[in-house]
Parts: sequence; C-alpha cells; structure tokens
Amino acid sequence: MTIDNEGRQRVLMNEKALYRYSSALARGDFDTLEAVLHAAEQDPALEQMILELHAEYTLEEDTLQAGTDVELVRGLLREHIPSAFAEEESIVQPLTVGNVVARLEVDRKVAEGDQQVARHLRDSQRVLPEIVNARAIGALARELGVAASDRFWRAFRDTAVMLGLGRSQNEMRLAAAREQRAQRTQAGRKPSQPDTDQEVSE
Amino acid sequence: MRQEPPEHNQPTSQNSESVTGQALLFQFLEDEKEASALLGILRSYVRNADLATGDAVEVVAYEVLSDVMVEALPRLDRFDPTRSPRAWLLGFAANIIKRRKANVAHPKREVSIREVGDQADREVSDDDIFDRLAAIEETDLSADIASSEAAASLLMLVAEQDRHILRLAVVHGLDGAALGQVLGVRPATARVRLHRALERLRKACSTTMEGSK
Repeated sequence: MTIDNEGRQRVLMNEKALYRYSSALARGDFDTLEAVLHAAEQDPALEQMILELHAEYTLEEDTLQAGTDVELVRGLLREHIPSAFAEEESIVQPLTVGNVVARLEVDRKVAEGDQQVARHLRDSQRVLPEIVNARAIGALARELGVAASDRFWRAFRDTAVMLGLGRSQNEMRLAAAREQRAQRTQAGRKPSQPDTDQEVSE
Repeated sequence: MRQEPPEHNQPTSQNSESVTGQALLFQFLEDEKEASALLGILRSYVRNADLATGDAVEVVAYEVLSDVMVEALPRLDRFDPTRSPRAWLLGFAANIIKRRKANVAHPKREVSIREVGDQADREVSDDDIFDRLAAIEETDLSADIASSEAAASLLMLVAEQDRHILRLAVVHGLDGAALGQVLGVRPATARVRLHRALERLRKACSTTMEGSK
C-alpha cells in the first residue's frame, strides 16, 4: 500500500466513523457513540471532525431557534396587540367604493357640488371592478344610481388606480413575508434527524 | 526566580502524570470556549437520548457534566496528557447517558410497534451503506459514476438532490473536506449534508430489501 493510499484509507475510515457517530447520535445509540469516541481519543483528526460536526449542529439549531423566536414574538404581538396587525389584515380585503371615496375626502378632492354624493358613497361596500377604466367607472356609476360631476368620477378613477397599485405592492410584500415565515416554520425541526431536516446553510 | 521543589516532594511517575492530567483538565474546563463546546455536545446527547426536553435539557446536561467530573478525576492516570481531554471526557459522558437511559427504561417490557419498525428500517446498517459507496469509489474512481450499473441503481433510490451530493462524495473519495471545497461550504456542513443523504439512501435500501423478501 502506498503512502497516498494509506492516507486515503485513513480519511475514509474517519469519514465512516463520523457517519457512524452522527447516525448513532440521531437514534440515541450510545454504545456506538462511545466506541467512536474511544477511537477518537487516539485520533486527533477524528476528534476534530466530531467537534466540528457538533459545532455545525449548534449553528443549525441557533439558526432555527432564531426563526422560532421571531415567530414566537410575532405570535405574542398578535395576541396582545392585535391592532398592530389590523392594517395587514385589512390590506387583503378587496378595494371598495367606500375606500376610494374616503380617500378622496381625506385628500380634499371632492368638490362642493359632489359632497352629498360622496357622503352617500362613503359607506358603500361595493367592490371595485378589476379593471378601472373610464367605461368600467361609467358602468359603476350607473349601477350605484348616483349623479356626480365628470370631475368627481375622474378623480375617483385616478384614486382607485393609485390605491389598487399601492395595495398590490403591499400584498406582494406580505406574500413574501408569509412565504418566509412558512419556510422558517417548516425548517424548525430537530437538526439531528436526517430524513426530515432542511438544509439551512445552503 | 523559580524555586525547585524539595527532593522528597518529587512526585512518582504515575503521580506526575495524574497531576499534569489534572492541571490539563482544569485548564481545559476553565477555557470558556472549550467548556461551552463541551456543554453544547452534552445538550445534544441529552436531547438525542430523550433524557429531557425544553429547558430541562440544560439542567440534565449540567448534571451529566458533574457526573463526568466525578468519574473522570479518579481515572486521570489513564488519561494521556499529551492529548486533548475532549474525546476522553465525552466517552465518560456517553457511558453515563447510556446508564441513565437504562435506568429510565422499563427493565422488562414488550417490544413496541415503533421498535419493530426501527428494526425493519435497519436491514442495511450504516457501515453497509458507507461501504457500498466506498466500493463504487474503489472500482470506478475515474469513470463516470452514472455509467456504472451498480452505482446508478443504488443512487436511483434517492431524490436528485441526494444523488448529486452522493455522486460528488464518491468522486472525491467520501472526503468531507474535499466535498466542502467543491460545494463551497465548511467541511462540517458538507459532512452533515452527506450524512443526511446517506441516511436517506440507507433507509431506501432497507425498504427495498424488506419489500423484496
């Protein structure tokens, strides 16, 4: 056997011993664990590999724990300060005529002659059509049976488009955050159970 | 100036080793980094032995460390002071945990369904699966792994992600350090990934063998 081959065989033996160790640890087989540790007493390379393996497990646990901690805190916040999440919940609701009119009033875009119509529409729960063009707004006005100025409907359409755009961006952000949370929850498992774990350090 | 100790106080060879070993052990445990790493490993042992869960893991890990001290100190003469005491101390810990597990377990009990399942799952041992991959490496080192029928049929048992890492491991002689370099991660990270892929392959092999009976 050449020196290179000897070296390769030693590496292979240590890698095999380490796999035996990690597998034994996962199933709580302390006889095997003890045997590998006994071999490691005489083999600094194997001992170092065992320590590095545990350092890796600790790192994974810390990463998973950090994710779990964030979820825990968010859960507590939801429980104790639900109003902090009210905006998030409302954002997923569809945009209504009432939402647009309320915004027009806040922005002082309702002319004096249209104020009565605005008050009437302020509480309307009628959901806006998906496409907000002049034709759709005309149809909506007919359906609602209210008479307002062209200026009012133009402002209504512009505000509806603006609110819809802002809502889409928020929804995208929330969807991304939800996706992240779901991934963290899915990854929050025991790191030494090989068949169920996610790779956290990709 | 350093004073030489009186001649009658010169320790015997064995005592000298014990004193050196003791000093080394104290020095080791006083090192915050070493002590923290050791406790981290003990926590992992306690959890995997199902001796405790949640906050109790920390408490039991401390108890085990205390037991390790009690058992290791009288045996310091067996400790090689030229070596790090890590594996030596962990050996005591593994033994202590094994005994604790035995005390917790019911002495005479029926074999549970889960244990029957576990036995079936271990048709192929850790060594078997490792040797099978190592054998591919020995006979087929320079060839394309996929071209080897035996290798291909073995690797087909697992998903593509596992197949990829196992193939790389075989090409690099199952060396975690080399695998880490190829994957661009720490050797330990590469080994953890390899072990998980190996474990899934071992289970798949066991299931296949069990099914063909």
